[in-house]
Amino acid sequence: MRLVTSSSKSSRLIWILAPALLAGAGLVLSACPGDKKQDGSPEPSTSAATEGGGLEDSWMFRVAEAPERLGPLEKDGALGNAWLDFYHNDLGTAANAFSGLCTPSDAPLAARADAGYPCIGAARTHLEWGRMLEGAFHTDRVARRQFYKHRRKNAQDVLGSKHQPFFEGLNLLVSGVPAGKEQLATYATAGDADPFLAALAKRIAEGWGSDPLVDRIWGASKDFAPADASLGLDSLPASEATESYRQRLVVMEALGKGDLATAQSNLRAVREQNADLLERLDGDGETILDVALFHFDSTFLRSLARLHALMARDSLGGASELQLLTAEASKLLGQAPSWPASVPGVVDGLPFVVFSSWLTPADRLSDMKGGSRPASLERLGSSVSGLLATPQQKVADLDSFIRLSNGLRGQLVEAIRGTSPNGSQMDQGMGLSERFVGRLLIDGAADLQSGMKTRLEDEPGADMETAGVKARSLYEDALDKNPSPPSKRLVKAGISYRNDPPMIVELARANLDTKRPYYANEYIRPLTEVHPELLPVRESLTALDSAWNPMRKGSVQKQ
Amino acid sequence: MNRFAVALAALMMLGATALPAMAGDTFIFYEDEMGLSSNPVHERSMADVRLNELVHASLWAPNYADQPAPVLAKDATLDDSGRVLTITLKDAKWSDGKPITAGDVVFTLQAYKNPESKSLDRNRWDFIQKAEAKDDKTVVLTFMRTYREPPTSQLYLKVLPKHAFKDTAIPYNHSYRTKPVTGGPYKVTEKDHKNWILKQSDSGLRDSKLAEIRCQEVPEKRTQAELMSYEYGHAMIEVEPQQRAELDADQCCTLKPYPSKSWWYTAFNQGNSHLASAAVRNAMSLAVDRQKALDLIGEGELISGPFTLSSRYYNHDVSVPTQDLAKATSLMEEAGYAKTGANWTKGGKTIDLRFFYDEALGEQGQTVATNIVGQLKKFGINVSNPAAIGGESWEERIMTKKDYDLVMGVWSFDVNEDIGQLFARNGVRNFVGYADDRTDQLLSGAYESQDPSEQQAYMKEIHRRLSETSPYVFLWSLRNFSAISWDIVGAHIQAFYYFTQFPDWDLKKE
Repeated sequence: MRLVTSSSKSSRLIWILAPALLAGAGLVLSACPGDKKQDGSPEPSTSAATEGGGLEDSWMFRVAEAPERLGPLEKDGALGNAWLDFYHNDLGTAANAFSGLCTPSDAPLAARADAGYPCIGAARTHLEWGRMLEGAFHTDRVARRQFYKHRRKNAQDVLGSKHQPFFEGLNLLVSGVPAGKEQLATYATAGDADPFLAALAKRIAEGWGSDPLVDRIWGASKDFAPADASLGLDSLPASEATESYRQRLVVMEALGKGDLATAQSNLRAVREQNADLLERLDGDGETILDVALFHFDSTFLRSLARLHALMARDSLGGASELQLLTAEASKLLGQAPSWPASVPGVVDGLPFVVFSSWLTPADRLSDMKGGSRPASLERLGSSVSGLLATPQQKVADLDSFIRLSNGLRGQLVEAIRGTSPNGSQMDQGMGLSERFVGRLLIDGAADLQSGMKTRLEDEPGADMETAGVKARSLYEDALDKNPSPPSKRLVKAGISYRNDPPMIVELARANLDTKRPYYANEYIRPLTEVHPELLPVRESLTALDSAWNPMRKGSVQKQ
Repeated sequence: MNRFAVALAALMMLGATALPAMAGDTFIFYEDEMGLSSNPVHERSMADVRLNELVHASLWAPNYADQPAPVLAKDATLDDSGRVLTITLKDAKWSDGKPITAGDVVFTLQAYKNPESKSLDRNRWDFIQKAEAKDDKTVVLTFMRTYREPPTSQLYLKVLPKHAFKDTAIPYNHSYRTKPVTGGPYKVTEKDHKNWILKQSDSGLRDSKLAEIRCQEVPEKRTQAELMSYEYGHAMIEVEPQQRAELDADQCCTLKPYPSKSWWYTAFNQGNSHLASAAVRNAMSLAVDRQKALDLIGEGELISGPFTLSSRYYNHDVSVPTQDLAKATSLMEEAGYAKTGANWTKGGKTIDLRFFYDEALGEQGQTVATNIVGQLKKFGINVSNPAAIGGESWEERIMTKKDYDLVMGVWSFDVNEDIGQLFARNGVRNFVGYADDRTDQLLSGAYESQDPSEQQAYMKEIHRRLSETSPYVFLWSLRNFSAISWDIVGAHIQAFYYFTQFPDWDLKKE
């Protein structure tokens, strides 16, 4: 049980926590611990982490130590509710609420406290949304890449597709495989090509590497295309079958030029559940039903991520003290970020990290910048032997890493308990220590993924069976198993204060990386309840699952 | 009674074998309903499957990444025709010391396929036309169709010792059921009405770390949770939402996703003259408020057909029926029924139905069954109070004699999600007597097709067809979690193949 229901929403975050935690079913067993050990594992060999900027240097500890630090976020009315929605990872509701409260300016950080940091809230909401979409883009891209590959490899068994070369060609291009251009060029001259797609294929194949708009949308160009650049969509032959794609392309074209207003106004016309092209497949023999391929250009999801990055950047008003978030937006836009030389400490910089899993603004900066190892592990690992185990060591003994992480959580629980009589209640009500340990586990997974070969691309990662599986397991451990968000909508989506959408998508990707599309969909498909823009990802994962696990007579058992 | 007393009472019920988890190298896990057979040919529940993973070795089994990895098989070569696979076996031995041979593999397939064995899994091996032992270590399989790569993911065949049987017709009650000769990491040393006790066995295939396993039947989930909380057990296979919050907050164990492909249903016996009518079944389906029943046991996801929502075959265009009493009434009237007083009647007779539910569903099952019965009664169907039925009685009364009218249970599927067994006219688990030409035609198309998109299309259409004809009320799927003690290291669970990596599990050394 966490926090409150929407009907009892209040701006007084701290004081609405107390009743919720007293009612929490989760306390039934922990209320009478008897002779039980804490955290099911021995404490780490050193307690140094609690001293000199270790555990205390985390927003979780700092707000428990002085709850008034949350005061600026606890404004009555819309502002408080917006932060509460953000806490629950209800991104759409939070974004709407913050947008009405934020007036972008270059005001310094301290001057924003009185207003409750609405522009930082807006920027962080859009950055989180953008990160989710960026993750979804890669998930969809890889799933479709594998699906098309399977079809090519098993060409004798599958029904022919006229339009696969177009969508596979694009998929390869955005996957960094230049050969995709050849598929597009071939499609452009094919007799049975869709006229709209054929013209577009020609445009992309010819513009690849030279046309700023094509390179910005499907390539790796860092720069926005000039304002007068155009895909010439209006002059391409119209095709009813590709109308949904055309609507998406209008949005992609605008975003390719950094034109947020045009993109937003055209986004409303996009039918999220529609394929870019639903291709009817014809069999050789008698068919008793329609068979269709759901084609989709994954690049649209990357464009949407960039849309949210632009919205985040606009909220920040170019303020120099908010450069950390502006740089993150640039990174999400695929542009060269200008990272700040330093960021405030956790107390002054609380708005940058509060309600996130990052422990400090410096950790956030380091991780987003792309440090060699996750910042939390590096920092805490300097005083906790074993926490900074190499990826290879983690593969050999993951349980040790998990035990250390849980041991640190135990130390944080004790440290928070020592801050005030309400510290313990606050921890359980806000899930401070759970969020903390979640960060360590996520960082452990990220460490495995960056340090070893876990990712599925054209082929499975060489370390898929070891590091890939362990990374997936760490994400699963970080997952909130008992989410109780304030609305049924969020419950259905599997979102909670700990289960933020980017983390859920990462977990899905980790499942795909380990060749489990069904289980990837166990995380993506619920998310579509709140984020229908992910519906094409659901379709790509089911298609791939069907390809990898063909219909056979199998085993069914009574549970 | 305080919590400690409850746990102690549960331990006493389990008998003298129930020792605290800290006793030596013994791993203890809890089942709601104990596995009944250690003969893989006669697996009839997930508890059976889990038990057999611990005691039997298969040709191939899923590795950590759910990809087929050889276990008994050493290597395999597919010939140029794509129809003949030659498998060489590793050197391994049975728990009685005799070598595992190619003859054992051939015998196992024959036993599965022998109609007199009455194996519910016999159709799994339809793709194998012929199996021959070329010599002690070489098996040659001939397939019904061609393959480009060895179909190893279809060869998760748990092998039986030929020398333990007289012939390939193996009756369910053969002594092997409780006294098996095993080729897996463990052998059965004791079995009583509440426990299976397994000890390490040296088959020469894969070393296991834990010396002993105790599988204990504890029907009450609450008691299982108490036992876990007091660190008497190491694993609770499935944690209900009510206990999930408690165990999540407790320090005894960690919750791990157990992503089984399973769903709840209430089935109509179409041998009953009322229930033979699709209109009546549809009416009853529309009379049930599924969400209301689900809310009683926690969160889950309503389904409109025989797949989980994340399945590649789930048809999202078919919506979950919401309670519609007006439409249900109209359907009953069209089928020739009239409301006489509170009840529907035909020819002056009420619709009298007996309702059963799977005992393994425990309190959750009772709660839901009572609610559904109440809703149907309110609609005007004279349904008996729900009766729990489990173990061998389930198999005999429900599956074999079909002596029921309505029954509620849960099906779990392996990766294939083979619903043909449930709904094909000759399906081995079609215990409701469902017979529909369109469904059969679509199933045939799905099995024959090699195109994944076409298979999807067939299966989605079957979903639509089943929602129209309502052989079952498709209820919901729940998100499942297992509780694993923090004292266990190396735990890795897999969908359907829960204990496949168990040899790597160990107790933490202090």
